[in-house]
Amino acid sequence: MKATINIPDELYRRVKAKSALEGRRVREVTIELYSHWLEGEPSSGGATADQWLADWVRLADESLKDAPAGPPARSLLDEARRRTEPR
Amino acid sequence: MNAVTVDASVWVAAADASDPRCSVSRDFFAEVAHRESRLFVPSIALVEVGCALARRSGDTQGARRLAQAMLVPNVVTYVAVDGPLVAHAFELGTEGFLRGADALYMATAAQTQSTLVSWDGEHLARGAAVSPDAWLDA
Repeated sequence: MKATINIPDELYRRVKAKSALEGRRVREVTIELYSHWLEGEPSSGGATADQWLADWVRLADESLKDAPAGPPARSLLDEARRRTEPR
Repeated sequence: MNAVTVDASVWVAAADASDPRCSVSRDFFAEVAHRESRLFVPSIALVEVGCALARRSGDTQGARRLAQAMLVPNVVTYVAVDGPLVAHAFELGTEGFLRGADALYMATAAQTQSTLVSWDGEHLARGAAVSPDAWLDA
């Protein structure tokens, strides 16, 4: 079935941006969210801020645990931002 | 409820346990969560954070996962760098002689009426941002 709905511009822009980042179509995301809602399951957006932070910190520690010795990521970011500035 | 726009420098410091500012950056995010402050992230931050973490870890997929995990919809508001934001950044950047990326962060903070929180020396020196520890003390 084809349905037409009005969505606030800013919300739709954000949906499109996140879908593109994840390599998914807006249609797929929409169907997934409708299905979760009908089944009464929480969507992935249901995390509280505390849960999100705990999960994110755990993922960070796991992702960087085998990082080679070297300057922290912030120094790399800082260096990248200043590359074109006169020394 | 004071809203914050968070610079990539704070995200990468919080992610990297080897960073001397990791702990205070994590405390900052914990306090943001506790206060239920609105948290804005311009889309350029995703690129900056992902790239810095990939270069630090040498792990492309891990860095992508971690950067994308910043963007939980009901916690973090992702601000697209679109025409209006670019126009605003153009105004601010040319007026204040800013670096391009800095102007995008500052325009995001201005448009969302939030405080820019950053470890970047230039953001702090220009008085356009506060550091996470100063935000915690305020």
